[in-house]
Amino acid sequence: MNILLAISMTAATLGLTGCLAQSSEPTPKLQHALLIEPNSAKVADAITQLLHSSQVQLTDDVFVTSSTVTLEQLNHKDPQGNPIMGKQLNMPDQFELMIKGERCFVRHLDSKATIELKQVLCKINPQR
Amino acid sequence: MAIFNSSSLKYTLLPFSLAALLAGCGGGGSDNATNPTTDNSGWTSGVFASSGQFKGQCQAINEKNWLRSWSNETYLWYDEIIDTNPALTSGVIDYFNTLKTEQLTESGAKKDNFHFSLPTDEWQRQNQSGLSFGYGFNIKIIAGSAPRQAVVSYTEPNTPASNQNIIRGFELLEVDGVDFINTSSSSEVGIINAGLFPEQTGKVTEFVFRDISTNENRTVTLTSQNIESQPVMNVRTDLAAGDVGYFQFNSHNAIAETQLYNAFNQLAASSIKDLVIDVRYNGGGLLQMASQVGYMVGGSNTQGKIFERTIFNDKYPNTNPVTGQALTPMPFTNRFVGFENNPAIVAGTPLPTLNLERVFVLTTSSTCSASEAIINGLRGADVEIIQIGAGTCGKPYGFYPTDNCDTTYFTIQFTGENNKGFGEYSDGFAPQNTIDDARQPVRIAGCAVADDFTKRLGDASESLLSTALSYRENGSCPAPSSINSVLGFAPTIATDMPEVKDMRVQTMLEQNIILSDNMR
Repeated sequence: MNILLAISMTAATLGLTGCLAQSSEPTPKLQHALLIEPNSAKVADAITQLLHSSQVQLTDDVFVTSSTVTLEQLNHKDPQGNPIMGKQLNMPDQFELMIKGERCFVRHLDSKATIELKQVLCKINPQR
Repeated sequence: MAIFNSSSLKYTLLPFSLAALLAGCGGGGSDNATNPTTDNSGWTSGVFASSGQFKGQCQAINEKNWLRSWSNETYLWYDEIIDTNPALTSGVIDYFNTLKTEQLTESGAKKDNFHFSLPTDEWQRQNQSGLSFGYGFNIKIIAGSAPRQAVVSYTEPNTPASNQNIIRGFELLEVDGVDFINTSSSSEVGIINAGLFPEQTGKVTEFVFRDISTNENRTVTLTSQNIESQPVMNVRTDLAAGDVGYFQFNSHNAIAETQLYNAFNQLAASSIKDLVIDVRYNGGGLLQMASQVGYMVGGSNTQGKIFERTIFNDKYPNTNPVTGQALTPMPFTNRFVGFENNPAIVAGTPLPTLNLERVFVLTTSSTCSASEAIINGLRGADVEIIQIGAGTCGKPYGFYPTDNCDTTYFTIQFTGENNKGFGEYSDGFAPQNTIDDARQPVRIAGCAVADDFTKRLGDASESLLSTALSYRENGSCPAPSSINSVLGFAPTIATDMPEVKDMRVQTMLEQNIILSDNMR
């Protein structure tokens, strides 16, 4: 899995930088972004690819009003009805929507693993 | 198939290296280690290869060997596992179930009640913090087998349930025409489960409830949707003529941090002298958030003190065997962490505090894990806890879910101690006058009172809160409510008989097992 992460990060990095060398335009900055139209299905698909997860449940307006989203494990419960993970030491996973030029990316905040969010429109988040 | 997230990414390789170190040192111990027995399969009792040698090798014998070595490396009570030949137990999960202590607590209860496994693809599913499928009501199963009894414990605001005025105290009678209380048909129980535990949005279900306050029946049709929970609710600063504050705290999830920050700012801006925290349905979550709550309660009384010291097995006195990081005690966290990014509150922002020397907590058996850590952590800092309600669940333990061959395993790996080195509360905390003698909880000041579903949470006449207020005035308790109290309901213990379970991976049900009589 670490190899997959490395591939993902490398591919993303190449995607962000590889073609820029051919351009004389100033390098666009990677900035926090917002979706112009809600598209939780595409965001969920991107995150499941980053996480290699089978399912991610998001609000319909994810990344529409905020550039970040925090995930947590579903609330699995034990036979007594209490959460299995009642005592968590880890930080929850956070993802952020980024924009570079016209392209939108979903980035895992901690690992920086990144994936492009294709066929969506996003804009720079003026609040960030 | 490892979870591809920050935690697992960091931790994937560490167990291998640490296990290799262990193996290099001759492996872990067991009662048989000094007198090993070897059979024809190559198993030698008390001798453990590194778990890394078997990781990801998905033949049953290798999966079992991985479990055996991994348990020996990281299980909190590894030296209480009876080491048996993995070849002699047929199933992998069956073998996993043998890899735990069989010792009992002083009360005679099993020492380890928290040994689980799940299909990894089920475990890997995640949701946005605070989000779930449902209707917006939380329901408590009082009796799981016929005659069943279930009651709404509270509702989330701005949900289908709250919009139809479903409130705490509504008792469930029917689901989609099926008699919830009496049905003995497994197919009808299936209808109940499908209705109660929707797996997607748009599920339309008809419920019949009875309001236990008025005895009137209500038929409502609800459509499931994404429910955004509100883990901090009903903040009040007006109790006892403004001397007492109150809030309901339901989950230590990421979105709770901002809500706690706002709640304590509101409380700090008031003139309250005492605080009641209602954690009766809080099963825990982020431990550091518990330490934040401890700081926001105790403030200067917690300065320089440890909230909780995490303890792994004695092979790792100084190092977290999963992360490889040095073990450092968790202080009372006095800053905003940013579990969920909030542009309005920068991580590191100082938290408000009430600087209290005592706090009232309202509890039930659903008060668990990180919620119990608040109690234990504050007690360690000499902040007095006054407990009103029923005994807590008794779970000072935790684990790092670990994947191998498409199964995720949960085995107790750590426990916690407070500033005074105390952490033995596996039978929970209970008010001093608790009459239930089936367990041997840590008894602390307060009153045993059964949960009262006849009043809304935060209502000053609700039994737990009203007892807290009267105890504050006169220091005395009403006659202790037993589990058979007619005033309210005390949670039953779920049986492990044949069952119909909520098969969803998230649920708003606090005791999510319904038994079908004909399946016994």
